[in-house]
Amino acid sequence: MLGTRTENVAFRRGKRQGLMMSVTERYLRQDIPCAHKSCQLCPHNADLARRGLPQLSDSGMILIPDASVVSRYIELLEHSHALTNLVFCQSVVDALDRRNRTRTIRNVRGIAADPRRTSMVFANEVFAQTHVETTLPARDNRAVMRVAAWYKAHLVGAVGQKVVVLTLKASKSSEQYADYQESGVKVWKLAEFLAEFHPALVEHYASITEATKDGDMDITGMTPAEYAQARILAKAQSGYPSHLSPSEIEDGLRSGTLVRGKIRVLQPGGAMRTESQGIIERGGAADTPDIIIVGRAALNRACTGDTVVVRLLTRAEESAEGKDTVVEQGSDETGDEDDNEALAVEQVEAGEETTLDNARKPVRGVVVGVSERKWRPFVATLQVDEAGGSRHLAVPVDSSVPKIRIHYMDTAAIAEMYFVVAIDEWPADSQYPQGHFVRVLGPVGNLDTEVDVILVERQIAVSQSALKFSLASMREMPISTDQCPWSPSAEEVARRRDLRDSLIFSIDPKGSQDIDDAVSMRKAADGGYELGVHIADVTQFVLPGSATDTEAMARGTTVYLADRRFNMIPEVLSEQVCSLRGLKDRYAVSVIWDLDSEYNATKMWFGRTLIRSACEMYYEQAQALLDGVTNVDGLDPKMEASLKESIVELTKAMRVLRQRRYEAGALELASTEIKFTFDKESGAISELLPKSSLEIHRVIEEAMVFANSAVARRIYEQFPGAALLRRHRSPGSERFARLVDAARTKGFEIDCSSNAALADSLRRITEASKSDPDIVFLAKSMATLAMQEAEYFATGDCGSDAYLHYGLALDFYTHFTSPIRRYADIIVHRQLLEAVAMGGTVFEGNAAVGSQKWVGDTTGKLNERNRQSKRAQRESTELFQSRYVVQRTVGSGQEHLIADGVVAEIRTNGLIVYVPKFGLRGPVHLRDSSGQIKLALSVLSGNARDSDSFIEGCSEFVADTKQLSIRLPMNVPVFQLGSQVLRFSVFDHVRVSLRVLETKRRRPPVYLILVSRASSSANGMRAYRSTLPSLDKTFRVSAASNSASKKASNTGNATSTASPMMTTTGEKLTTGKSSDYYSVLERFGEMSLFETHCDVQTL
Amino acid sequence: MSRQELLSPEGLRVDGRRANELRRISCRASVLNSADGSSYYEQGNTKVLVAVYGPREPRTKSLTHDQATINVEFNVAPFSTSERRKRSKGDKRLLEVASFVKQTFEGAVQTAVYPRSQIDIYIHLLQHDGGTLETCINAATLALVDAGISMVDYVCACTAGFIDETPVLDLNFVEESSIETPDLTVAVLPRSGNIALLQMESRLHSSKLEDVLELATEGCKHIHKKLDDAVLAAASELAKKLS
Repeated sequence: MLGTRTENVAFRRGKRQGLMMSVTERYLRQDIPCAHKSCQLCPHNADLARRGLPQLSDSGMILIPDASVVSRYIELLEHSHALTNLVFCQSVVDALDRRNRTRTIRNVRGIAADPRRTSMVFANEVFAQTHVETTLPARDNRAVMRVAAWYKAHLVGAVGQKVVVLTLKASKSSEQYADYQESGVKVWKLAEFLAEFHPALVEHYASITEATKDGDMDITGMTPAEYAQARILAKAQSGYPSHLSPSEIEDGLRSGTLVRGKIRVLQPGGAMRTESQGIIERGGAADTPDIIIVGRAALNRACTGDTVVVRLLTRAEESAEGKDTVVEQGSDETGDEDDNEALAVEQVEAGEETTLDNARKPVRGVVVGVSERKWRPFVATLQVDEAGGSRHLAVPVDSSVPKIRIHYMDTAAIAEMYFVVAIDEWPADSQYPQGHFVRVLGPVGNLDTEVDVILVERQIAVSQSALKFSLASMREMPISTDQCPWSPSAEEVARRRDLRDSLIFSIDPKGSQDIDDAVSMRKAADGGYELGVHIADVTQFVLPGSATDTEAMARGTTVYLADRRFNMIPEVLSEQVCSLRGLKDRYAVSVIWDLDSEYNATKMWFGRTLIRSACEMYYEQAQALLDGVTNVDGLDPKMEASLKESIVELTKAMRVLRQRRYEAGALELASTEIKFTFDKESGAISELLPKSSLEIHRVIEEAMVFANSAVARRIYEQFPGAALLRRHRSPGSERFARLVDAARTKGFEIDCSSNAALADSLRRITEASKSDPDIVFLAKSMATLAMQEAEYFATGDCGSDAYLHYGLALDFYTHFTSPIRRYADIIVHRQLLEAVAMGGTVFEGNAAVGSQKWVGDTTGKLNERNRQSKRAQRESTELFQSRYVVQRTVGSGQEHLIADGVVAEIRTNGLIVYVPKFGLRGPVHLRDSSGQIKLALSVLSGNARDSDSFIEGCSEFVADTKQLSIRLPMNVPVFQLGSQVLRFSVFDHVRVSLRVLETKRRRPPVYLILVSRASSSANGMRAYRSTLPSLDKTFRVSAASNSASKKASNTGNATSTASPMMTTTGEKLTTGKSSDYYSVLERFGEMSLFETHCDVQTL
Repeated sequence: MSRQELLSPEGLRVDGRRANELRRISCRASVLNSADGSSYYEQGNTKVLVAVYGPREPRTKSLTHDQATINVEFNVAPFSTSERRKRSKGDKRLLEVASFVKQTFEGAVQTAVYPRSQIDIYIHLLQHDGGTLETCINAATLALVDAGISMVDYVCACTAGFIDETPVLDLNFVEESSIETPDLTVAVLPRSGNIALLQMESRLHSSKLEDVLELATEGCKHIHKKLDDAVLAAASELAKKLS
């Protein structure tokens, strides 16, 4: 039955208004059970028993700890099983709750649920006979005392047990205790009580006393109001310093005391980075070194991409900072500890780059202002705040973005989902930025969702469905269906140069739909040649200012992902009307050269044409023709002869042109492109192939380069200020330092003073390492990485000396040959057609194409679009690589996916290994964040099964740019390694096991585990590879036949290298001093090498 | 009880109730003189005042030739919660509550008795501590009875939730605002046991629904008794005045 009713009044700080009163009602009951075993009075005791709660026993005292004891000595209460019959008052639990001591409450509940402790929580606050008015002074103490008194009185009839109140500050004189003197309740100080009754616990008590001496563990030291005040103060202190005002920033920038730049922030994670770190890159010159900003406080709420204002630290400050920042670690907010999953992810991310000896030392700085925020919508997953409620942390997929605090009620609906969040603000007193939930993308791990994540993160579109073309743009499209294919209009046919009789053909990857280039090559009568490059005439259909044009410009480029693509212009154009399909009349923009017999251009013609491609070939067919194969699969035999002639002539010409360009210093670069083939039915990835490179690829490429550079010159003549060109800036030689160092370990010198010198060095490496294409590839890709990205620009925006294309070694270059998939090409087409006065309808109402400002602005956007689409492409490749690894390991039930790899980079905590077979780079962790060296046992055994256990006792982990070394423990047999010190340098061959980290937070990353290493030279490696299996075989056979020596000598080379090693092991075995050695052998288990010992004896 | 603990292991709720106990209900009919019928109804700390006008001549448009139309307006006093907040008239939450009440009474009021007329129910929430809809319906029943409008039966409403595997009766604000707590409001016609309204916005496993519904219906019966007493009290007071 409900008894009287009271109201509890509490105050809390509201969001909008200051102090707010909240009133909750409470019913005072008569039927709260005492839970005593031998009590006959309380009817509800049976109810407690039914709920599985223990009852107070009638032996020993009933102990009632007060709030000070519970809050400070909960550990003692929890672990000392000698203390039984504890009665925790609800008023104490409430007091803990008001100070957010959730964990202590959990401990109390734990004790109360443990049947051995015969303890309980007594709901004194809702019990009419023990309720104490909230307004009385020292109310909580009174409440505890009243409970004790009630028990004493209640149980007198039953057993007459002693009731003891435990406290820390008992003084007989204080009134709240004095009141109850006559009730027969004993008040003990905890220390005295323990000394008297439980001397064994005194030591524990003392240690807790010592440990919590100056903490605020004891909640009775502060009233709730004081506590709230203290929290607000603490928060204000831990808050970030406020940013400078715009005028202060302006002054500082002008006087040079402040520096402005774009920041890149790395969140803490990995082995070496325990703090967040910001980097502002400032080109290369010696007087403007890069600035690094270490620690949350110094970063002062800056996020990646923001334009920030920084004050540089003086040397003295810098050294002082160094000490301070370490302390700054802990975070005061609850619920921000990373869960294990997130930690694991961080561990897989590679460590930092090793610092170069000769690198300019970056200077330290502190962020004092943010001039421009670069907050975009972020894709994130949820980290649920365990305390419940609606405030949670969103963990962005992009690891450079801090976690974002959001409000969201229905957490179950977005757990393990990707969703989009936006940052609203980052107040100075908040550890994390404040944001809000925008929308759900879908479940983690779903392919479509993952693609959406890429699109949103790269700001390509809000979702895949948003990439459909609008009705307005579809209305502008010409009609072309199977029944009624599109055909050129008579008017256009009359206006254009008709090349339908020439032999024109296209060569593209197999299955291409959007064919935007075709070529023609024929011998001219005068012994020279006529070379033609014909590009789809997109501008004919995409008129400036039309819906399609606006859309194409916004997209900037077609986005190719591993399994799908998102077109820049509608399919009806890209796949049909514009696409230069075989045997169809199509509009084109052509460049036609007259070449003399030395392949020098004597005449050039640009203009609109009408062509009919004789044949759409794919690369393999063309290469077959070039190689002299007849009856190539899929080609019209009648055409073959003439096609072949053209291709051969084209190849000859292009070889010469290419050679010329190389002599001028063009670089041959490499990039990892990987192709996925899919199983049609299941959608599973059936194969993963690095893109092949045939000569014909380079022939077509060269023809396109030739056309591009010719067009670049032509439009530059016409629009000296507004021509849209493409440049590749020459990188400073210091950017190549890593490559130079790496190459030196393999005995190559790299000269990177100019593109010609670099090209020469790379060529020498290629010559010398013919047997090992992976190294050549790596060297080239390292060179590529060192260089800046090529970019579009308007010629008027920079001096003519900056037009150079470094990689291609051309003074003028642009993009002209792929208008179907790049918007830059469309602009270039318009400029070219304007230049040759064949614009016609194109230029009506579009003067913009000749305006430097417009072209300049547009190139900026296009560069950004290209960068993002490239990243999207890379990310989708990574996505599929990771799915592939999952499919091959977890999915197929197979345990290991082993592949050969080459060390590409050395990091402070391990290696980055490139696996050519799958075109992926992955980290190999050799040291975890605590500094523990983690070398897989398989390095010794060569057996993939051992890749999950680690060798204990490794030491001397040293990593610099050239080499990483680990000393193995002395007790480990080093069979084929030859030395106790294991060394890895860049370009070393290794075998790795591919794994995928299970995570619900993002695309599962691939990581690698070292299975075995091979000697650095290719020959050595091959010898090594052949050694292992043959050894195994040899000894197995010999064990059976007992004629080991004979057989072994037959295997020659392999055994001869193996014998000494075996002998050493044999000796060790016979001496058998080290017990460790046996334990290692035991762990090797059924390893084949183990069996060999007996055979060695017979040898 | 701690904030995290809506139902303690001992079976007590935040406010000291057990799982199957209602809050204290006190109610009175005929509190306003100017209205045809009125009531003041308290359930714990949730307090509402209802005024009923009608049946009266309808304003334009809302006329139906064969029955009365019921019009419900629901207002929340700015001082009803600890944070003073003014709500606009178009607040969708308020409109929603009003429309639930309207639907409930359209089934219970014998509208056919009053053709071409209108019955207005004005509900004011004075203090809010959970269970808005149930209190509104109960108070409106009382006010309609007070106004002498023919009804099939009383309409009694009650909420029930489900906390820690236990069906819990009559949720207060703290319990209601916890996201994990499903919150079911049911209005029944106590004599027939027919259900006039069943509303729940959160998820609850279907196997538990029956238990929760049963508990809520049980609660409705208690409320019926309370309302009956209030009607009786009002009637006897009236009788005293007449005699």
